Amino acid sequence: MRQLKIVLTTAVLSLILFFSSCDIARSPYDGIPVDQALSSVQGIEDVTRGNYAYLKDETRSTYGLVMMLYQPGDYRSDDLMISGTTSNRMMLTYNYLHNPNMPNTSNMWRRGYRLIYNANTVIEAITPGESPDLDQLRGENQFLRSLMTLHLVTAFGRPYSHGRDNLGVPIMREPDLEAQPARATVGEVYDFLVQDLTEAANLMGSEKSSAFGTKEAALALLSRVYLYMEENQNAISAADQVISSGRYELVDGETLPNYFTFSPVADARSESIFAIRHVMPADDHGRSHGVGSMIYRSPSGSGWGENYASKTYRDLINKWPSDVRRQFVEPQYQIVNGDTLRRDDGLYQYVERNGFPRFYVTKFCCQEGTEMGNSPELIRYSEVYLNKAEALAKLGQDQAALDIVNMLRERAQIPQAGMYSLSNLGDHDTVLDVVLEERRLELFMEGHRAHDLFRNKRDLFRDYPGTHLAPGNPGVDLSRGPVDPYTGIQGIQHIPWDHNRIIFQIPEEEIALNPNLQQNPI
Amino acid sequence: MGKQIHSLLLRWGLSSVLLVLLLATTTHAQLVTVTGTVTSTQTGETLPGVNVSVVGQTQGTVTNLDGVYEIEVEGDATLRFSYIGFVTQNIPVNDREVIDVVLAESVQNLDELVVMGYTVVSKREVSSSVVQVSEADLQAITTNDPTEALEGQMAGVVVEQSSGRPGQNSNILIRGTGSISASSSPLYVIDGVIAGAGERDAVAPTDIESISVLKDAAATALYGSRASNGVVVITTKKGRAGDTRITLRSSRGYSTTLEGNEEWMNSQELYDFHQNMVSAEVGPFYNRSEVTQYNTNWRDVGFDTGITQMYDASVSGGDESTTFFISGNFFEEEGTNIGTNYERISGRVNVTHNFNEDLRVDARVAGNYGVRDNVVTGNPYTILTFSRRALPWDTPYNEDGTVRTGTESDWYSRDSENPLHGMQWNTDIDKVSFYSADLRLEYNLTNWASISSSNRYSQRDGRQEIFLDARSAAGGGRNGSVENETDRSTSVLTSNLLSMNKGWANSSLSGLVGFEYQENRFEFTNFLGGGLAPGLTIADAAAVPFDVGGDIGESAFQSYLAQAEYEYMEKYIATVSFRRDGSSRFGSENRYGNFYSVGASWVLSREEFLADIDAIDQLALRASYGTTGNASIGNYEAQGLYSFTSNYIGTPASFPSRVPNSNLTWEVAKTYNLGVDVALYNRVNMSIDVYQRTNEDLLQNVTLPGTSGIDDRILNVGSVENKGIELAINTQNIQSRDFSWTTSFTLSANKNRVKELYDGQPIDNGDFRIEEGFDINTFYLRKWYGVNSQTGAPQWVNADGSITEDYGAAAPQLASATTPDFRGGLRNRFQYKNFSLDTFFTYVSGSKGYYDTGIDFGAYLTTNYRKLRPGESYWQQPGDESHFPANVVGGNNSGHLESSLFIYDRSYIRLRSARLSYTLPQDLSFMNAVGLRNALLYVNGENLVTFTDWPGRDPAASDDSSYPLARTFLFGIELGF
Repeated sequence: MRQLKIVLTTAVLSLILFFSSCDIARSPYDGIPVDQALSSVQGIEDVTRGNYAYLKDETRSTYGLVMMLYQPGDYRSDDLMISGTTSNRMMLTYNYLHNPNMPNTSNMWRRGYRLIYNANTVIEAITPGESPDLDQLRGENQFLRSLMTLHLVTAFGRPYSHGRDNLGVPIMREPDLEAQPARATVGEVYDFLVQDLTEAANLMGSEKSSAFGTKEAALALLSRVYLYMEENQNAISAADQVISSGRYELVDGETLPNYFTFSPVADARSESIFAIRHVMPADDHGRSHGVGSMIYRSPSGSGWGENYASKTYRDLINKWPSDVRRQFVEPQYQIVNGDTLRRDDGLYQYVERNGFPRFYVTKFCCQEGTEMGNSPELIRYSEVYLNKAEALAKLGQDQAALDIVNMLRERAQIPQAGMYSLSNLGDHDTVLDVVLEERRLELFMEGHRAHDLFRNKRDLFRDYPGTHLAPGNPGVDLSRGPVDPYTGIQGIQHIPWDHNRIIFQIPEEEIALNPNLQQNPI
Repeated sequence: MGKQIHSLLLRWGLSSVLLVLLLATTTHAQLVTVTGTVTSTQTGETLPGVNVSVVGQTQGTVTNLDGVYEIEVEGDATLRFSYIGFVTQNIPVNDREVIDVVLAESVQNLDELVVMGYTVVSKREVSSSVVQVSEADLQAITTNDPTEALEGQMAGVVVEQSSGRPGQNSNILIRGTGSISASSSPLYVIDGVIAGAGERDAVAPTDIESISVLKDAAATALYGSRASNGVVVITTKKGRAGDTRITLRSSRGYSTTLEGNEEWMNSQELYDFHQNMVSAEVGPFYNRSEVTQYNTNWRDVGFDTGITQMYDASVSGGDESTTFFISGNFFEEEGTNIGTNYERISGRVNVTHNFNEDLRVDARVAGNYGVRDNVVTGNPYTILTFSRRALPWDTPYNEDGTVRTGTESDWYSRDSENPLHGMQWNTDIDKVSFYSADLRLEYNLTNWASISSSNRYSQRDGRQEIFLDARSAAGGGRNGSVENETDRSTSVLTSNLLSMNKGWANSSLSGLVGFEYQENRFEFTNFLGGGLAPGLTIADAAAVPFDVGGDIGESAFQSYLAQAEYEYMEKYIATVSFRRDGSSRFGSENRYGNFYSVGASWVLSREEFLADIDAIDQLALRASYGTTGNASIGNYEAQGLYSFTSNYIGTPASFPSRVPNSNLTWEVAKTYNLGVDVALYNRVNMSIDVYQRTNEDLLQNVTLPGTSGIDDRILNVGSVENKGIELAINTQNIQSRDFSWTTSFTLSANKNRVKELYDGQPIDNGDFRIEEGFDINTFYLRKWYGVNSQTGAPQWVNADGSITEDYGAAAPQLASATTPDFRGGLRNRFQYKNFSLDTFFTYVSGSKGYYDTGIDFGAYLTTNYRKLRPGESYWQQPGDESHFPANVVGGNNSGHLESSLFIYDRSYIRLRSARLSYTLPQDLSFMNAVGLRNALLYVNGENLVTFTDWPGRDPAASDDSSYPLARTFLFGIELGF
């Protein structure tokens, strides 16, 4: 009895002593502590790759950051139509009813700055001149910071050409959790971009592929920045540095329609200056791919395929049937037993959604044999040429501008009859009109069109079928414009370039968190 | 260093106490062996299983089959005879050797034992706010979720059935929400031990003897750092000495989905609705009159009669030294939403063995295996969403009976995918197995002190298997895909107590000191692959791997606890408790926290000045104050992290995911509680409690401005207060030989207020805002003004009070809160001869909810519209004073976007359950012939009627778009041998 008492008590005591001496500290398994992350070159490289990986992961959903690098340019343009109504707030981007309480703009703001923060942690950790490798990494992060800042200022601030003193976005130069920055002016933001991209270009080399920031990627973006600023000579010189690097080559006409199906590091994708590289099949985001899923639906049913090329864009690109760029638009004919059906009025019968014919866009799909795989290209070589052409046109160097346009048209296999000359500008009044139309045709659905219109102080006219033609939407007149023969729809949405709604509202949650932010007029 | 010394001292202090006890030689006075028989006053029958204990000591025994006990005690000891349903009696031994006892049946159950977790006390002695339901109240449960039985039965305890999905358990909220970022779920304690992952879900309702809910700090402080949201103590059944009893239960039920007030347009109605919209001519499709050729009721497509069945068998019994309870249970619930199903098999063995008078061992093993068929997740087009808003113009089937894909040109619904198409092949199956093993040793060191060691290992293994066929739209892109995720949660816990109980003539002192250690681990791996040969569904068959992942999480808790209770003359009771907890979850600078409570009660009815008043059976006042904590946050929230969960081009990539905070520590809840317990005329039992709980140092994910680049960081800031009043009344209305009627009524009102936030900065969260001075669940929306009666346009209110028709310009404003004014339940039990009827109503008043389903003024043309309810109207022509704006193709100026227009009252009264049962008369000869002790037949109805103005399906659902609850009729039989 007594022994039992001793045995049991000792057993319980040992249990207590054992467990009370255990250390209860536990560490996470899925990463490393903050203070170790940037303490080695390897760590800095990992964090830098983390930025690209972040962009890659943000391609996953239709509300992701990468969708928002395209949405402002494409969904507010005359290149796209939405065939139905959706509670996804891209609808409000499209129909100009955007408001300050939308997850898409909020995500763009928060996640764009998130990337900038992470880039800033690396930039802060490297003193330029320590080693070429570190300089390269610093440059890459400065490039990424600028890329995000440019997209943010384009979405939330008026174009530079509308005035330097308009409000842009806050400039974040260093990681600062406590900061409550006010919006810098558009002029200040662009000055920052010029400085940052120039530094980035000087720090970086030309060795890395288009999956990373490089000297040329920074210069190409700089040419865009200068173009937006209408510092045309600088735009040309930055573009020329990219061209003279010899790193890139316009692909030939046969290759162009399949361009986006190649991996961005393949030789066939020689126009790729900066792309968010997705490795197939591991990085195939499947049916929800952020950018592609809205404008494409695969035969097996991946992608939602709800938004299509607009009728005006189709008419424009169809002008020259041999133009290989037509193949980026895939009409969905109604085919029964091998026969393509026609309607009573002789028009082709298309597969429809809500009565609208489906015209899928294939620039964001089908990489390396997958259905939805894609490496979104954020800077492409032909844009650099077009930047240069536009700058040339604005400087009155018309022939040089037309030469570039003709080069791109020739490559697209438009016949000689379709080439421009100073005496033959087709139905255009000015060389700038020619260049801008070519820019529209070439960079279709690559995030440029609406910006290109508004920064050049050109109005937006949408006189084609789509759900933007609803009576409650800004600038809609249902009694004007042509009647579309296929759907019988008439109407036009007209947004003047100086309209308040050509830029987004600052997310109201951000203003609540940072009262120094001033809202855009609505 | 200071902390280490502190914990060392504590550790050795504890150990020395044990050693002293070990070495203490206990002097026994003259020992007497007392025997006797315990019988019932009413029936005169002997009572087996009566607890016979020595007052002021831990010693005790139970009566055997014949109601006979035998116990060796000191001659001057007092014996206590207690038995559930009977009035406890204390009888001094006075050196007698034979003491026969007659126990009176208790109507009031004042002597019911209440399980408090570490201790078990008689209801009469409870000095804190505790409520308990026992077996009888648990019978009404018809699902696999035991906590459902608490709904409406306990004042201050809210059971939220978030979803009617088969196998889905409810959430419990005790006395309001006090936390912002940390969880508001209570702590679960099962069989005296803090539950690990999945343990609460694993207990079969038929295995439960009682559930108690500890509400105030006097009761919960002993659970320290995890008890700020209250503690739910679940106790499973034990065997009783006596005949081996076999109980068989079987039931079968039929359920149909709740539709509430929600009604959808049919094909023609929708067509006419579209024709009446402004600019109906713009849209090319709904002018086609042929759309009305089909008239599909998608609710009928998506929902069907569900079937629930349950089979349960248990065996229990034992002798004086060993008792056992063994049970097996099979439960199957076929959901009302097609394609959903849950089945579970579970079993339990509880054994208690007394080696001798001083050493007792409890061993429990429980396990189960459940399989759940979900409608395929990862596919946005579920039949659940379709059943609500798909267009009646679409038919799911072709004329030849094949399933349509949804991509047809004459398919108009918002989503170009018929969910039935993928459901032909695609599956999403959850499998969960669980087991736990308990070993508890209890040893009486002396006649006033015992040590116990409770140890548990539990393990939950989950596996999810998603298969998407290559022929379906969801699986086509990957040529068929398979996703497998396996996870394992394990928990090890040891709880070691030294309990003391010393009694004197007029007073007693009891207490405990203890040490606990718990370690939890969670790990998972997942695989996603594609390219499956037809008919194959396993990972090995996948030609291409897409994603492989896995992670591990760990946490550890270390605790020291102590409690003391002093009772004088059974009139004055005082308790103090203390717990020191350490948790791995908190910052290295702040890993340990101290929690304490004090409580007292005064039994006025035992005072002389009330002794003469016969009407008062019991009158007691209770008061307590104490602190508890909340540690329900992620495992590593205090530690900064660059996460390596992504990659770029197949190489490692890291990204900052958390900011470090080495000072992060417990959220602390400070609770005051005042209570009165009254029992009158041997008929009425009433408890009233008022409380105030202030949670401070809230664990708050403080959102940073987007420009900071980090979404949020977790800080200990802010404070939230909940105060309220709770009332519970039980009355014995009629009690006669053949007929009885009892009523129980609960009411609770909780008022919530956010007192302090980080920097005074409000927290925006979707349609809600948390702001100082307001309820934590307050809507923050653009304020609806009304419809412009001339144009039919929507109007909102600007921040300055002016009216605007521009949605973006209108400023969001704080609106009403979802929190109800009061809520509760009303139960009536009628018994006539062998029939009994039990009806149970629950009610909620003043709650608000958001409901914009099926109303969008033309914005989402390709979804169905709900029919208007009485009092609702759309604007049609100038001068109309309408409830809603005009319907315009493409939407009416963002009128459909979030605003206070869509806040509705969610008050309701619901006949939650009604149960009619018939007990076969015991004297039936055939019963004796087959050895039946008792037989019971019943029919049970759930969610039978709801009275509400809520326009949606279910005012009780926290999210009206989730899987709706069902109305169920259940038939059952229970046989005891």
